[in-house]
Amino acid sequence: MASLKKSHASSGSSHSKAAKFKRYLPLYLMFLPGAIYLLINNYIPMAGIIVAFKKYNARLGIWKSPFCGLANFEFLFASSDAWTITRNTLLYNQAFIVLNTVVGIIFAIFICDTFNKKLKKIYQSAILFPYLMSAVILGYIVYAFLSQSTGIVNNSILSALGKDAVNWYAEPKYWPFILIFVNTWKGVGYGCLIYISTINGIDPSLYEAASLDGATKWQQIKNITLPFLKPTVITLTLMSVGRIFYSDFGLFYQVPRDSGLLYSATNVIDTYVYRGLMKSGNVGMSAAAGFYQSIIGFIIVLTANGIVRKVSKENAMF
Amino acid sequence: MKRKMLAAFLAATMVGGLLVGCGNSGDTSGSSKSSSGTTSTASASGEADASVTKTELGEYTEENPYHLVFAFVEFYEQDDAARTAVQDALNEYMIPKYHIEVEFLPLQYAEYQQTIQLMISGGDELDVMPIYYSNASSWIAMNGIVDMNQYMDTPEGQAIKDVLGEANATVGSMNGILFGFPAQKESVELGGLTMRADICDELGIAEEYGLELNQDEYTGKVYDWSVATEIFKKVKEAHPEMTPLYLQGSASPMRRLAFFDELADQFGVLDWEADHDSTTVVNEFETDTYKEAVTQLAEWFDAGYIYPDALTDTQGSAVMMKAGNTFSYMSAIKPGYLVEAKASTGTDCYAMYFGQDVEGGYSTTNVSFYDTGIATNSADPEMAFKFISALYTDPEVMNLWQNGIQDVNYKVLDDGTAYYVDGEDASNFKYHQNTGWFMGNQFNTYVWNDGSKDANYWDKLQHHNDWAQYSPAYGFMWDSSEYSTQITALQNALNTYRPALETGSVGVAGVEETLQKLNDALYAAGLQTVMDAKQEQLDKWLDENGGATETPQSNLDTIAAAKEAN
Repeated sequence: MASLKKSHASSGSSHSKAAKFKRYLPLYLMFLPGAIYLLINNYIPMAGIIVAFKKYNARLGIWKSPFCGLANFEFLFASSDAWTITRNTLLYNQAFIVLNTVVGIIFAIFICDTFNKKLKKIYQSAILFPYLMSAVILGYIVYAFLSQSTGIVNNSILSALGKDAVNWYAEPKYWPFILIFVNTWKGVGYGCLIYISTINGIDPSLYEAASLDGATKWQQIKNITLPFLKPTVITLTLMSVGRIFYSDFGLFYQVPRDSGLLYSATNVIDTYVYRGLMKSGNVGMSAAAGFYQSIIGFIIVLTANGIVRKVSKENAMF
Repeated sequence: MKRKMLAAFLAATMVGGLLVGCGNSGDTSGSSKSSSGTTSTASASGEADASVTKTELGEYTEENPYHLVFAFVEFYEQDDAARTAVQDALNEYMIPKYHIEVEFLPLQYAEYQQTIQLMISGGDELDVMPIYYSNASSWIAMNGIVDMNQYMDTPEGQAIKDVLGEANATVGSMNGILFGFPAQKESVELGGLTMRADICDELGIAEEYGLELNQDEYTGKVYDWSVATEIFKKVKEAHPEMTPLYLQGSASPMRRLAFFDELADQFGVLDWEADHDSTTVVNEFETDTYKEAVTQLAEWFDAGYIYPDALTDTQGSAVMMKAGNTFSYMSAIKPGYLVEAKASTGTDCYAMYFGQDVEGGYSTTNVSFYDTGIATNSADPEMAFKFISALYTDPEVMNLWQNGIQDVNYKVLDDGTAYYVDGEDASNFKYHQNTGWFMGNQFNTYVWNDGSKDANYWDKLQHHNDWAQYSPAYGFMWDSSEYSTQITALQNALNTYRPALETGSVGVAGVEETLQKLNDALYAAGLQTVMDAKQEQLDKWLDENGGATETPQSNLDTIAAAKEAN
């Protein structure tokens, strides 16, 4: 960076575009691999969105297949399922965003206040560990608790309390709680790690000054830590809001073990589309579902960012 | 300045690496395309004699054979080098005789449907492929399958008809499009319980019902399911720690309890149990037959006879039997089945056939479950058809593909059966597909002597088919391509309630309510529309077919004779 600044100073007099381009050429070159990757992986395939409006024919290919209007979108809205899956997707993701942020910040503050360096490292790793676990393993851990024949809850806890065993995988009413609990346990570590690094970056002299002035721990958190965390929280939240229409497929498919009776509480857009299209294998319908998700997600990000820009302009993403 | 140069250099290498990466992959795909191009374009030098195979699209000779990609499913792990050797040996035989050079494309069962679908969509090189019957309508709708009717009058087409019989050769048809041929196999599904032999001996069950090891051929002796209740009761009393019956939600046991002609997708069926001759499409889940079956399961569940976690279990019967606390599971049974059962469960088993008056219905679904067809990707479908014909008619081709090279991968025993060469067995063999029931004509291969089978085993399997009573709609294939929206929604509705009902997990008290919910969900998803369309297509087919399909008299005689004997 030092050399860049220097070159900026030396060529400061010339403002022609060519000189500017030449000056930033190394940066452009460094940007190029990423840009090519994005172009190939993210932008070019976008043209495939057109399949959502076509009756796909393998012989004719993507471009020559005939258009069919909105027929591919029908299946999403054909039954009352559309309402259930949209509601589930949105409500679960809202709960996940709020809980992961709140619990993540609480844990981050606790961990940062741990004096023992070794313990701090252990806590940090322990809380991140579930995040790195695959959903299949997660599903089996939950199954170890809830299974009928060998599960800990039915066979050790409920029986000890003298209560009847519950057929967990057949009772949808428990699952909003179970899924939210599991997701928090699994996901809180990641956000927590980012909050910890933000808190570590806060100038310690601020806390020293505060405690000299007699601020309590709570006042320090409220007036120093939280304001510093605000930009991080906003960025992370905006990013998750953009994906509010996408759900963690593994969580909703593997953890309830694909039990049909639980669909009213566990079916989200991704699992619904997966179940429906694995059978029929209709390319157009899959594309339609993807289109629906990304368009709504796009609108929600724009809206959320617009609100943030109104409330605190410097924290908006664009 | 130095740093700037360094940065530029780094960036340049990164971009360079990226381009090289792209260039390489582009190159390989390009070269494979061009090689296929040369093989498929006709050679102008070929002359009209026996050493040239001419089609509308090209001419092929020994020097310039047609390059054919043959996709199939491998159910057992094969050694890559051994497979390549077999492919070479097959080509040594194929090229002079058929002017076809075969390239194997082995796929895994779990993903073969998606893989082939992607290959069709992507226009990859692919000629001959396995088709799962329920994919047929969507693959035809996306124009991925070649209609083989155009080749049926050729000598190769006639040869297939001779092998399969007229009815079975055309069973893989939908709306006049012949998309595939079923494998030559036992297509009638008779079944019942596979039970641990040691427990049966201990509790006197073997004695009571005259069960013996390796006694699995159907003789017309079939028990009512209430007999199973007695057996489960005995097992539960003597061994409370044991699960009398293992079921799992993802695998429907309904076939074992009652026969419906599902007409491809279960949404609108023929209630064959209630009326053997009915051609009225009804909702399976409103029939008494279905209700009785799930009530029976619920009774067993309430009594503790069924595995409590059946609803969501994914382990499968083999694992549960091996674990040692499961007494029995439901399955289809056929001659030679118990040897397979012992191999998968690790224990000796007895088999008992169960059912009501059913001798096993013979339906389009049963026969054409797995078919062999041609992808529209094929550069010359006529050559692909010649290869399919060889799979049904040329024992050399089938034996090479299935068993490998004689005296390298297998040896022929004195009695005309075959087995692994010395030093190899089921645990360490290099090449042995054992999938003749999936594609082609297994009756053309050597009988595999795994201890229970003799040289006339194929006759026994053929005889197994004699027990079949034909569904009146046998030969009819429902084309659902116009209804994919409804089918998707219906499938979701069915998935919601079916596993709970068909593992008995709802309990007797919950049967009525759950059935009601299921039917409400199905009708909301458009069941009536689908059933009406199905009925219309079936009626049209009945007109064209000249009435319902009838069971061959010889089969009726076989069944009647057995009834008298028992």
